[in-house]
Amino acid sequence: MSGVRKTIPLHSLFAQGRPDDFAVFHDGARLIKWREFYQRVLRASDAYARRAESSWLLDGDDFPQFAVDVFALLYAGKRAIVPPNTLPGTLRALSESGAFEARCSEATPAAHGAQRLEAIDPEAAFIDLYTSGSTGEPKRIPKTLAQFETEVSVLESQWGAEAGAASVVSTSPHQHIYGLLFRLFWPLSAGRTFDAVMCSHPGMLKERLFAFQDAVLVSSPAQLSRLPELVDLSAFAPTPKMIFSSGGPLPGAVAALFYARWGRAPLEVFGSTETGGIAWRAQTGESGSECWTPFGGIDVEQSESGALVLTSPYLGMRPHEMEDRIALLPDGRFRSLGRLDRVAKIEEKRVSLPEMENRLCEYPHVVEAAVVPLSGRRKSLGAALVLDAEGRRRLASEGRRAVIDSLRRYLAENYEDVLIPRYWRFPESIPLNERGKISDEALLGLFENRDAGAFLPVVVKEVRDEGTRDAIVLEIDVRRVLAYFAGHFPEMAILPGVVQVDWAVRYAKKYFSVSGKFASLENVKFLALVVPDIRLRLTLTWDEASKALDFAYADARKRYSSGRVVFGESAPA
Amino acid sequence: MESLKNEIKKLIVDSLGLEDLSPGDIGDDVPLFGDGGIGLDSIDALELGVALRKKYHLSIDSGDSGAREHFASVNNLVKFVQIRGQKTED
Repeated sequence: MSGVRKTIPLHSLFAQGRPDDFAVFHDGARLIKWREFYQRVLRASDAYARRAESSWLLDGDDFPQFAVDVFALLYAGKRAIVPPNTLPGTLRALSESGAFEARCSEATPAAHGAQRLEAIDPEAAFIDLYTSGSTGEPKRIPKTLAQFETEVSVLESQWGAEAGAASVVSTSPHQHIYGLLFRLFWPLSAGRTFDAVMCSHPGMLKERLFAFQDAVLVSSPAQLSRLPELVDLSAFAPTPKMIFSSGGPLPGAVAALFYARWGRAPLEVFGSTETGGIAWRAQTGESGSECWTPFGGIDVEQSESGALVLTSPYLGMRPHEMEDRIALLPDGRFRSLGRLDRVAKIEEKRVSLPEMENRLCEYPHVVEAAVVPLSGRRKSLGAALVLDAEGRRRLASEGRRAVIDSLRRYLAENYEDVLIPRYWRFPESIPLNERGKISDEALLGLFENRDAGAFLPVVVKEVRDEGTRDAIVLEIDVRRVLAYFAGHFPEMAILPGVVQVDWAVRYAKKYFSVSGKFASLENVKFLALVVPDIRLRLTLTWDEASKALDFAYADARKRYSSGRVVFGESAPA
Repeated sequence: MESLKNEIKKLIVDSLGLEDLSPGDIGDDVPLFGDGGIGLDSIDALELGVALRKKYHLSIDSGDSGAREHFASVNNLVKFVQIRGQKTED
């Protein structure tokens, strides 16, 4: 319908223009044609040009407004600042660091003024993006429009012919490099209509694909990997012509499923905010299809330590060593082997672990913090915090729920929801590895029993009495997740006495050379109910001579239970 | 009605692997997402959709923008399941 598509570089797009009735985007209610889009950019650009401030924060979430503002700023000779998200804490931090002088949301559009927009110098038009660096501070990544233009031309030469005149439908936000490129810059430059609506659920995606008929899909592993479970993929008609995915690796099985149902494997893009796109792959299930192929003009080498060394036109052709570990193949393709630094990716969101640890340490009563990525049902973060005396007192009096809730709310000021740790531990000290260093392996031990249905408490501290070999005090967290509480409601959730005896015997066998067969239980007293989310001291004393184990559960305020387990003659081996 | 409510609360806790939350902690009208509520995130929303679909054969693919509202609280989910779901064996 769009006639002959013409690719126009972004720096002269508004000077050259497109036909008045060219459909730029659909805002959910109607199609916005070139004439209207151009007028909006012209008016906004004129307003920005009249203002003295030179750098502007794109602080709104509305994509059509964002699209207008980013070009209005650049064509007015202003620097456009794209925040990593629009959370209040993030915007405050950017403001305090002097990242921008004014906010687009506070600009007032001019009613009259310039008649036309002139081409600009793409080397002197700046867009600042932000990402999580490994050092802790959010890192500013200044980009020129020229860099984006080079990347757009690489994408167009790689996939433009196949995409043809298709519109661009998406499930991804526009405020990061991938969204910015694939949802806005590439379609606009190449003359494709884009959907300004982000499809937030499968039904909506189906509807938008139907409405546009001929469309490519810009998505991400988080969305794609769940789509087949939410809807019947074969019920989509039409299916997208091409599927793009970026932000993290897509599991091979998921890619293969799309290949089977939609006849095409998602085209995955490997890259980063700093580097732009580096390589791509389409996992069809064939062997070798999991390897990444560098884009045209991009050179990938492997350093001695296994790091990816990139030479890219987007980076002025200077070799750039990355924090990604790869295995380079003789044919120039490579396998990705994960990160070398302490930056984790949770559902495509990059997070600096040191940054989160620093932030947690700034919270009242937190002495030390360690954050570790956890795999399992879904990727998530676990946080281990060492509290001061007052913090421990509050944990005991207010309970885990309340303390964790306030920590979550505190982090939510600066972090998107999926990055907020789902698992929390409050050990007496951060566990170290055998070389005395904090390591993921040592930390993971704290989170071993995290899944619902766990049968043991978390041991937060063990104190052996120096004088006697056969006595130990364990501090344990009786967490709500334990299988014994499952299905119960708070008023009924209590830890059965038999479980308390079982734990005592289990730990005794771990710490002492307990032998023999269970013979009898003596002097058992259950004095108080053990409810979820309390911390107890379990004192164990083993008397080898009488083969008797004394146990007692208590906290600072009261005793919960105590008793003696007597073992008989050794069972046959 | 009451049992469906409890069933859904248990489904939320079990399917999302929420460690410090028991079904009884989830108030009927407490917001499941966002501030001041249970604090589920956008991925939880997807996972919960999968779990509901499996258990009640719910179709949430009808394209209605009401999805956000259906998932707002346990009470809303109960209504949603009653209208649209077909209970199947566990």
